[in-house]
Amino acid sequence: MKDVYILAIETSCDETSMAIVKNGHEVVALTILTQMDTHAMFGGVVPEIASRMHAENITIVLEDTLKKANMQVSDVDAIAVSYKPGLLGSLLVGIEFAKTLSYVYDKPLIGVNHLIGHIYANNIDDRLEYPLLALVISGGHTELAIMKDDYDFELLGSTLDDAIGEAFDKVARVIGYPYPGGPNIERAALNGNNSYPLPKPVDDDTYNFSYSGLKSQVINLVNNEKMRGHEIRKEDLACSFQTVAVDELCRKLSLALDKTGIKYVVIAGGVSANKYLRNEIGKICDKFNAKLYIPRFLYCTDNAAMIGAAAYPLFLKKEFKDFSLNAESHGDLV
Amino acid sequence: MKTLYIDTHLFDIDIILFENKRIIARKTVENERYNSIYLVSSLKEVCPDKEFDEIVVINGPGSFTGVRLGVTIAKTLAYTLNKPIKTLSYFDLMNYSSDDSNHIFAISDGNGYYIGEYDQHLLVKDYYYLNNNEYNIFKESNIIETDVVVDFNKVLEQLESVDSVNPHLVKPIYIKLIGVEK
Repeated sequence: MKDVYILAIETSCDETSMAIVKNGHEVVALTILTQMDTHAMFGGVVPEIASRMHAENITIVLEDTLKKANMQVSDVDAIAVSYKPGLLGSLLVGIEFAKTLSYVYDKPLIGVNHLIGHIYANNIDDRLEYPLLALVISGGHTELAIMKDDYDFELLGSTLDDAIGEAFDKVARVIGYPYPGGPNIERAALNGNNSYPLPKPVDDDTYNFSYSGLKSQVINLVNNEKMRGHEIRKEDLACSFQTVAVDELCRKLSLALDKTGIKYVVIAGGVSANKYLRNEIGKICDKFNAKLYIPRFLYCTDNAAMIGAAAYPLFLKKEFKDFSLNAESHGDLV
Repeated sequence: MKTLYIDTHLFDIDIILFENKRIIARKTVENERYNSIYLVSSLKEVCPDKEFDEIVVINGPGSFTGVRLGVTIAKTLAYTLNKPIKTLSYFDLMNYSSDDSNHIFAISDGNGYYIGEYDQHLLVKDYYYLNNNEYNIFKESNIIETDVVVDFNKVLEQLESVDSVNPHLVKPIYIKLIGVEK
């Protein structure tokens, strides 16, 4: 069969990224232009600024990607773009850009769910085997699902309130660590002990998660200690929070592995970059003799390579979009 | 000489293909807040063969998203098809289209007005933004024009002396400050 090259575009949040991916598995070129330093000045992503920077940089990122691949847009077989979930203004820049390329070069347009993109990040250096358990953990999502085949999901459970990444960021702010909160909590926790008693979030037999209670516990604890004039042991609190937050994921994953007998696990989403979490989930998978897929660190955070990987099965099924494709702020697995 | 004109500075879409200053194809979509779903299909309707010699895009001021998407499409076309691109503000259009020489133009975005002040067809100071209350006070002591019928003959004539720009550097003009800038 002829090789399939997909030019993929990712602008759902604060990274302008493009990639050319061959046959859904091989990254021919990848460019990621992050705006993190700019948003860090404001303590978090400012949507309007993110959209502005995408629009400013989009043709420059294209030029860079093509140069790395030594290819032209006319050489690719399709244009893929993430269209949900994400910041609407940011997504729209990538979507209209993708449509324009599709118009200029008469290439089919593929719309990719960014979240599913994170799962297919695991298909880049490795090959996904089904059925698998997919644990999607990011600033906007905490979902556990069975993936029976390409794009065939059965949702087991999801967060009832905050996403895990959101909880990391909010707790970081309360303890006093700058944006981005997740990596700073992780770093601090390395030097701390799990010495603050925090309750388990959803201690039941469902596959649902909850992080707002845990977050509130940390906020209350910080406020109470301040009122009493006690110093917070920041690193210990970061460690205690991270331990409980990750333990929640591990318990639900153990439950699912035990009940379904599934032998493959994927963790995906920005929070999967957390090394403590990877380690703990690795132990669970070892216990159940299941294979754990973890994307390379480069493919953990937002990037267009995973969008190209996730677009490939859609290309084979000829699931193309027309120019009325719109951005959507929400987008679950199912 | 074919000129592709793209204007999405507010909630309308206006895409025109001129040949030797005559309109040969035009697509307008009016008052559509979610106009992005019509943008590239309108472009394809106006210019199915992608044959034109230059692009002119209205780079603002107006709706942030509207301007940004028009500019994104225009710079992508210019870059990929290797065509010269020129930018005009909507105030330039109003100024070129007016006969009298002294003007204050205003463009409403629903929450307030962008203002462009001209004397002898020359811009007196940088564009600025007034909220509705400030505008109502301003209006009492100034004659302001909000509706100018665009005279494309005059605009295209003026366009000849406008330099084209590197597509990578084409940017919207926003003017109005956002929360974190205040």
